Amino acid sequence: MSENGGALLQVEEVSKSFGGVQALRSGSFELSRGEIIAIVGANGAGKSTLIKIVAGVFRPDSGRMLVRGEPVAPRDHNVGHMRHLGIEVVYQDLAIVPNMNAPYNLFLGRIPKRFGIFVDEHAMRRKTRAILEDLKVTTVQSLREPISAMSGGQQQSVAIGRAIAWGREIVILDEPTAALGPTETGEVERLMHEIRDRGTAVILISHNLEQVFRLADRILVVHHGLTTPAFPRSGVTSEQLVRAITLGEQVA
Amino acid sequence: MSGPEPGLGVDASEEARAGRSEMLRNNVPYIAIVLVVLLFTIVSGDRFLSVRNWTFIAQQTPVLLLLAYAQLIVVTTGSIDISVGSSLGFSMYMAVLGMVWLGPAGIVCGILAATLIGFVNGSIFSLLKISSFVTTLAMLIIVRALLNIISDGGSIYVTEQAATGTYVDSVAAPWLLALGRFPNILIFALVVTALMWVFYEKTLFGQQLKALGGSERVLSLFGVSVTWFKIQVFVAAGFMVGLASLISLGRSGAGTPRAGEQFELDAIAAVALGGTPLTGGHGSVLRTVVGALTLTVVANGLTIAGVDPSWSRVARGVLLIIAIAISLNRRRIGVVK
Amino acid sequence: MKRAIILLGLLVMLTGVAVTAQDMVEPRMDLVIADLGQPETNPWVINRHRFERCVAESLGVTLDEFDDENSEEKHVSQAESIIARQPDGLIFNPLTSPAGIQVARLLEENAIPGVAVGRLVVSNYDTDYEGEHFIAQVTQNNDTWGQAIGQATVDAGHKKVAMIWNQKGVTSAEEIWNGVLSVLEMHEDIELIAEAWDRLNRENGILYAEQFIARFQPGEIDAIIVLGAVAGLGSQFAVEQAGRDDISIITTDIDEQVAQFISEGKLGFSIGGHWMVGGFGLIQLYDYLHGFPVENTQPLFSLIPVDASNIDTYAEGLLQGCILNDEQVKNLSRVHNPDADLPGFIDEFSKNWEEFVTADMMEEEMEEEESEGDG
Ligand SMILES: Nc1ncnc2c1ncn2[C@@H]1O[C@H](COP(=O)(O)OP(=O)(O)OP(=O)(O)O)[C@@H](O)[C@H]1O
Ligand SMILES: [Mg+2]
Repeated sequence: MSENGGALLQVEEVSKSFGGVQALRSGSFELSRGEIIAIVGANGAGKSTLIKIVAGVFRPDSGRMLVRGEPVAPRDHNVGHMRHLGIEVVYQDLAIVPNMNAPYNLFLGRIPKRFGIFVDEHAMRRKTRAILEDLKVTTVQSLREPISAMSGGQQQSVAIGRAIAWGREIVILDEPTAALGPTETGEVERLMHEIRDRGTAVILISHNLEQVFRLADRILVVHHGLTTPAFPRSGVTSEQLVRAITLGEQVA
Repeated sequence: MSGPEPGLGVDASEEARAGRSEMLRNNVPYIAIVLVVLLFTIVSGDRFLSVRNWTFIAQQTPVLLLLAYAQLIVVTTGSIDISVGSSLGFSMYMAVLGMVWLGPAGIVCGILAATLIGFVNGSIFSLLKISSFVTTLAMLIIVRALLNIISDGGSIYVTEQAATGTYVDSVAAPWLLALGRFPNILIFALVVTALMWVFYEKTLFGQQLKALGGSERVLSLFGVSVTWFKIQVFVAAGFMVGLASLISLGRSGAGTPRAGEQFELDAIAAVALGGTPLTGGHGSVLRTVVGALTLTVVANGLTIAGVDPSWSRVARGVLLIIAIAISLNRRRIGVVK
Repeated sequence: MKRAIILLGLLVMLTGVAVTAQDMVEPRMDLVIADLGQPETNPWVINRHRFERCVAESLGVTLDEFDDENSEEKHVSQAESIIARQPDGLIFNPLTSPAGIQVARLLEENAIPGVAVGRLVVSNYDTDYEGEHFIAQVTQNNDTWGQAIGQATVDAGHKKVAMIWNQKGVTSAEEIWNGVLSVLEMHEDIELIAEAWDRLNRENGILYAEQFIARFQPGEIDAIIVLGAVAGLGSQFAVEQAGRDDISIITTDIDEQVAQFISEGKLGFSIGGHWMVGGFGLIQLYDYLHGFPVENTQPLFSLIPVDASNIDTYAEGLLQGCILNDEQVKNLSRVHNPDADLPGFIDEFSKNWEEFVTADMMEEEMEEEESEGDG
C-alpha cells in the first residue's frame, strides 16, 4: 500500500472520446476507504463515462488511474481486472440479463463451477437467497424464473446485491434510486451507509441534490467533460452547487 | 425462504391464466408430434406404424437432429448459421478423403473440417462484426464451391469390401456403413443427445449461450470476453456439424459434391418447430429433438399417405407457421427481427 | 347395375379364355408403382410424367408420383418412405449416382423391384451390379445425343460456338458434351470460343448468354449450345432482348415453348424424346412383376433431333404425351404380346418415330388449336 494519504483510488486527468464526441475531456479525483463521494452534473456531462473508466469498461485515451497507489497498466484496464480489484458498479439501466434468473445475474462473470465446466446451481441459489435476505428482499417467488418476471424493485435489489456482494473496495452506483419510490430509496440509502461502514468506498451518481447532501462526504461536479476539484459537503450550498452544475463555476 | 406474499395486488386468476397459456406454449412441440402421429395413423394405419417405417424414421432423423443441435447452439445466442448444409457436405467429403489418405483414423478430417469452418464463421462474425446471416451466407457459397473444386465433381464411395476397380474412388469401411444404419445411427444420436443436453443445460458454456442471446452488452459490462466466446459458439456448432457428417457419410455411403444441399433450412425449421425463438435467449434440447422428429415424420407420413409432393411442401410450411405462431412467447421476445 | 356386373363377368371370362388360348399370364390390374424423381420444374420431368401416366393407364397400373426436392438426402429418405408404403415396384430417376446406389440398396434390403430411368446408377449394370431387385436402368444414349447436337451445329454452318453446361460432376452431362466434342473436333474450322459450367436454370441461361453477348461482337460468335431447355430458353430470351439475331441457340428438351420458338425460327435446334425412358422403364418393371426375366438391363434410348423441318410433327405427336396408344403400349409388353421386343423398340424409335404420329393426332391437335382460337 502506498503512502499517498491512504487514497484507495486516484484518477488523474483521464479522457475519453467516441469518434468525434468528446465524452470526457479530463476527469480527476481521489477516493478514500469508507468514503461516499457524489458525482453530479447535467445530462451528457460525462458522469457515466467517468465511472465506466473506473469500472474498466472503457480504457482512457489519456491520463491514468491508481488503485491502492498502484497504477493500472493500460493492458490491465478492463472489467475483469477491476472486478478482481474489488470494484463493482450498479449501472443506470441495472445491466441485468433479462432472460436469465436471479442467481445467474448475481454471479454474472463469476459463476461458480464444478469440475471446471459445470454450473454449481445449488451453491448459486443458496448464496442468492442469503444475499436477498440480507437486502430484506423477501417477495421473490422463484429463483429459477427469468429475472424479467420480477418487479422493477426486485430487479434493482439484485443489481445492488451483486455490487455489494463483490465490491469489497469500491461500489459505484449510477443513479440507483431514480426509478424508486420513497421506501425503496430509503432502503438503498441505508445500504450505502452499511457498506461504507464496513470500509467500502462508494461513488454515487445522482441528480437528486437533497440525496447528495444527505449522503455524500464530498461532491464532484462534472461539467462538459471536465471535473472540478471535489469539495466537502459542508463547504457548499445547494445554490452554489446548481451554478457549478449548470455553468461550470468553481466552488471556492 | 420466500413464499408468495399475499395482497401484492396481482389478480390470482389472471396469474393462473397466464400460467396455463405459458404451459400450453411450452408443450406445443409435444402436442404437435402426438397429433401428427395420430393423424397419420388414422390415414395410413399399418403402413405408417410398421416397424419397418419407424426404422426408416429412426435412420432419417439423426443427421437432421445433429444439424439442428448445431443450429440450436447458434440460434440460442441470437445468431444464425445457414452454412451448415454446405459444411456438412464438405466435411463428409473431407472425412472420406481423410480415410483414403490415412485409413480409418482419417475420418477425423471430417470433424476437423467442420470445426475449422465454424472457426472461420465465428472469427468473421465476431472480429469483423459482420452479421451472422451474411457471414454464413458467404460461407455457404464458398464452402460449396471449395467442395466442387476439391471433388472436381466426383464422388468418393464408402464400400463394404475393398474396391474391385468398380468405382474411380472408394474406401472400404463396413463399420462406417454399419454406423449409418439402424440401430447404430440411433444409438449414436442418443448418445450425442445426452451429451448435448448436459452441455446445453448444465455447463457454464450452455448457460452463457442463453445469456449472450439475452444481452451481449451486459455480458461485456461484467467482464465476459464476448468476442472470444462468440467464436467458440461457432466452433462448437461446427464440431456438431462434424459429428453429423460422420453418420451422414455412413448413411449415404459417399462423399459427394451435392451432399447436404438445402439442409440448413431443415435444421432451422427443426429448431423453430422445437419452439426456440430465432431471436435467441431461450431454447431446449428435448424440444429440438421433437422438432426434428416432427419434421421427419410429417415428410414421411405425407409420402406414405400419397399426398402430391408439392402439396406436401405446402402442408409442411403451414405446419411450421402454425407451430411457431402458437409457441412464440411474444411477451418475452418483445421485438421480432 | 346388375347387368353391368354380369357383362363385366362375361368380359373377364372371355379375356381369361383368350389368355389361356395364347398361353399367356393373367395381367394383374392391382399393381401399384411408385415414381421418385425431381420436382416438375423442367420439361423433361413433366414430359416423363405425362408419358409414364399414359403407359400406366394402358397397362392398368396405378402410378404414384413423388419427388426429392433436388436433394440427395431427401432422395434417399423419400425412397425409404415410399418403401414403407409397400408399392409393388419403384421407378426412380436418381438425382445422382451416389443417391441411386442408396436407393438400389434399399430395394435389395426390402425385396422391392425397381428400375432406374434417365440417369445411371452404375456405369455398367451387368459387370458392376450384383443385386437382384434393382433390375434395370433405362437411359438415353448420351454419345449419340451429343453427336446429334454436334452434327446439328455443323449442318447449320456455325463456326464460332460457345456453350453452357451443367456443373461438372454430372456424368451424363459430361458424356453428352464429349459426344458434342467428338463431332466438333472433326471440323477444324469450328472453334469453341467459351465454356460455362454451372447450375442449369433460366437465370444462369440468361446470365451466361449476356456475358457472351457482351464479350463477343457480331461475327465473333455464331451459336450457343445450351444443355436443357430451361437454361436454353433463358439464353434465347437474353439473345432476343439484346437484338442479337446473329446468335443461334441450340438446346435440348422440347416443350411447347421450345416447339413454338423452333417453328418461328427463334431457336435453331433441339433434341428430345428421352423422357420416354420413364414409360419404357415402367413396361420393363410391369413385365418383371409378371414373372418375365429382364432381357436388357441397360437399354439406351436414342434421342430425336428436331428442327424447323419436323417440329410440327414432333409437337403434334410427342408433346401430347400419349404418343403410343393402348394397343401399341401393350404390344411392347410380353404379358400381352409374347413377341414383344422392348429393347429393340427403344433403340429404333428415334429412326421411325414419325410413323407413330398418326393422322388422328394431327387432327386432334388442329381441332384443339381451332377451339382455342375461338375461345
Ligand atoms: N459509447 C458511446 N458512444 C458514443 N458516444 C457516447 C458513448 N457513451 C457516451 N457517449 C456520449 O458522451 C457524452 C457523455 O455521456 P455520459 O453517458 O457519460 O453522460 P452522463 O453524464 O452520464 O449523462 P446522464 O446524466 O444523462 O446519464 C454524451 O454526449 C454521450 O452521448
Ligand atoms: Mg449517465
